Amino acid sequence: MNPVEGLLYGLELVFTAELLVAAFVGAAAGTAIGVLPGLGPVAGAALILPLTFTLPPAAGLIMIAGVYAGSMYGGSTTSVLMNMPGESASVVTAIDGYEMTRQGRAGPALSIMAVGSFIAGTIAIVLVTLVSPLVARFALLFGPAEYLALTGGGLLVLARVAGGSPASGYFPMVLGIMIGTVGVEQITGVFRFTFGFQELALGFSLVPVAVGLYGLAEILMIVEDPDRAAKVRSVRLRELMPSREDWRRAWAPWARGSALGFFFGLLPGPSATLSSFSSYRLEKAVSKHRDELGTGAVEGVAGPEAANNGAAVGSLVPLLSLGLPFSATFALMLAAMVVQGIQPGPLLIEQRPDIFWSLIASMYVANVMLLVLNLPLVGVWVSLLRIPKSMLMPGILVIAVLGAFSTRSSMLDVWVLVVMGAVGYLLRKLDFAMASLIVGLVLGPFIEKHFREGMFLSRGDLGYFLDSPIAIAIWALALVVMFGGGLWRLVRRRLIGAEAEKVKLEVED
Amino acid sequence: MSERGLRGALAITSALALVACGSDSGGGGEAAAGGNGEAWQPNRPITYIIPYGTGGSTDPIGRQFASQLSEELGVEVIVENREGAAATIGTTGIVTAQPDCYTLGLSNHQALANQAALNPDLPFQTTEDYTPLVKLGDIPVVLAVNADTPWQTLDEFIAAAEADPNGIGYATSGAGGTPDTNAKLLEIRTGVELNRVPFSGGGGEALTAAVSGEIESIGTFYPSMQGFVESGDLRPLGVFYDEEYPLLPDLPLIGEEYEGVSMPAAYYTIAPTDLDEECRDTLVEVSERIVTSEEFRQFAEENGYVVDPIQLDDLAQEIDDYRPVFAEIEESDA
Repeated sequence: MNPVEGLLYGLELVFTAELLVAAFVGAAAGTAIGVLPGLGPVAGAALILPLTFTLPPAAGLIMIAGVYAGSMYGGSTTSVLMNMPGESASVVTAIDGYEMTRQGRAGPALSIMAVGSFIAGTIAIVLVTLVSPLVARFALLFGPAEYLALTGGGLLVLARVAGGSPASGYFPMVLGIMIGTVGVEQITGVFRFTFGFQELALGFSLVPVAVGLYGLAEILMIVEDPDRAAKVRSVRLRELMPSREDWRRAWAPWARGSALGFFFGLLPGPSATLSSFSSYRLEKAVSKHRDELGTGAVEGVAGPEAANNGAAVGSLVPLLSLGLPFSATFALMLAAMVVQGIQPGPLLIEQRPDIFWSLIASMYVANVMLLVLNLPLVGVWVSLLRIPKSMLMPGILVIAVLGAFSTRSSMLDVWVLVVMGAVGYLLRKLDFAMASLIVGLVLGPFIEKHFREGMFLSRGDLGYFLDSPIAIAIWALALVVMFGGGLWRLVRRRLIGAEAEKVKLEVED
Repeated sequence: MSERGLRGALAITSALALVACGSDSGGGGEAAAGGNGEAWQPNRPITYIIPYGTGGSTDPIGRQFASQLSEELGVEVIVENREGAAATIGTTGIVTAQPDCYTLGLSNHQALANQAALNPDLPFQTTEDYTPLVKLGDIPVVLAVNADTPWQTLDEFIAAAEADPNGIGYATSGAGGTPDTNAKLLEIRTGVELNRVPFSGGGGEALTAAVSGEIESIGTFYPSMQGFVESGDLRPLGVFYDEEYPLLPDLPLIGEEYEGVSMPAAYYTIAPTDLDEECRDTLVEVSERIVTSEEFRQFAEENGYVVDPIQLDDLAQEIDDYRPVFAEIEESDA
């Protein structure tokens, strides 16, 4: 069966009333779960998993796919509306998405997200169809050395995702890495920096940190300056939809983000987060409107949102062709398959093409459902902003506290939320980039883990990390991105001549 | 318009929440068939605690037992996943519950024999502290090598490891996990030294490393490596077990060749101690019936388990037998 026939076969299997209902219920439940801070894709899939045990295999899997796509979208919705990212992949969406909301353009931002997720799903499906046999074993090329390069190089590049001076990016990044070291050390189980608090053993979880840094700090900012708050001009249909100009500007970021996300999805690790941040970084480098990023540019929403959906579809390739779940959500999906008596592995495509292609198709159907469900909901979300500030802000505060507490039923997380709110407020006042803190917190533990695995594997030989062409290439690329701009300016100075440069330097001083 | 829309959204959300909450209700209703003259008949739902997360590798066998328990007793059995701290959080939950037969759950040899010794504060120090109802099964660790390595048999592998101390890499899912423990036992008993590499991201990363040839060998449970054995990427060499493993009957048993190098992951259903006598007898009888049933046996075998339906004193004996082995591993600095 060739891939195109395969996909059509899969779609044929999926287009039954029962499976469409499953996809719809999954997408709706996922959106609801995603909108609540504290419940992300993993918690959503875990909640729905026991239900899928009682359904036929295809319906169960399609429902999890729906929850996954839905909660990713829902998490970004709160990012855009309230500057409150529900999970790490949504953090970067908050930068431009929330600025758009403040300018009264929440509707277009949410529509761009919904359509972008759908388009990314489509592009990634096409990529899966065309290249999945070729890239099935791609993940096997990556070992600890390559992952260290990917996460370590990624950290250096992404720390400056929001622009600004190097210090404004690297200081919060280091803070994030430090927070990430708190808790049980992954390999030997030693307690680090817990100061005798049993609860700290689990470490800082991302939700209270992100909601505190962004949401709580934002509320403090609004209290200080009520004019900051989002304006809602009206919720007339025309203003809910993106303008012609918005559509035109969204296409290229959608395409770039989808391809980037698909690539990251093929690899283990925090692929949704890495891909959304990288997409933002890419837009900053190549977009025609790069100077507007950070001030409410469509590109800053379109790219990252496409990327995290592309990653979701891309992750299906290693899951199905190797039986290796590269994220917690996919581990749950694998569990759902195993319970149904399906053991994914290298022979799945040959032995069970029906499962392989219907899963790919189901991811697609989940994306369609998301679009159908969420475009009409855009108006509802936007009208939430019309609630008077004096009621909306306390309401958000209550939801944030509930969300922080509910992740692990731990009071500690509520304190983390409060402290992070204060930290976020301070950092914001001092003009630091908070996205870097999240990058450090998410990637720091991965970097440590891959470094230690590599050291075990090579019996302590540091040369191991540079013994692979892929690792060297990734490090080189990271260095080029970091220093390339500066070097280019240096070269250009030489070309233009020393005289002109002197004048310019004096002006800059 | 917008207000009505909002109300609608709220209604949908709460409806969905209800659906999600009702998710466990599948097993209950139809089972009035159970309780054929049992002395004890529960009249409300029973809680079955699983000390691992939803969707973990251990979750399914616990759920299988819980669903058959529901059929046998004719009441709903609610599965509660309480993960964390090497299964000790969930196990503590079972042991400290009311001894009224309405709370029982799953635990394993590692939590009951090893964690108890490591942490004197845990409330399950001896087998007197809980009722060892029934053993669900063993799942042994299989030793496999990358297909491109030269070793065709267990003996060749051991000989190569002897010739090159700390030279052959052995991937595990984490330090102190069952695959790691078996390799330590092998090192203690044979004097070889493997370079045990703990991959901490679940079993998947260890498997990736072994399949790609990044590391020479791996120890893991058979179901997760089966696909790669069938595709010819991995070559199994032996089973860390001392009885025949039906999934791989032709492989040498490492536990037979090297005395005591056999520590499968073993799962049990336990309940609080001092249960009311009436309901205790019923639970003992019902759990034996479940574990010896064709349905349970078939499920277990498909998932790589070896069913071994021992109960009470025999089971307590097995748990106690694991204690000196763990102590030996803790003391050695392998």
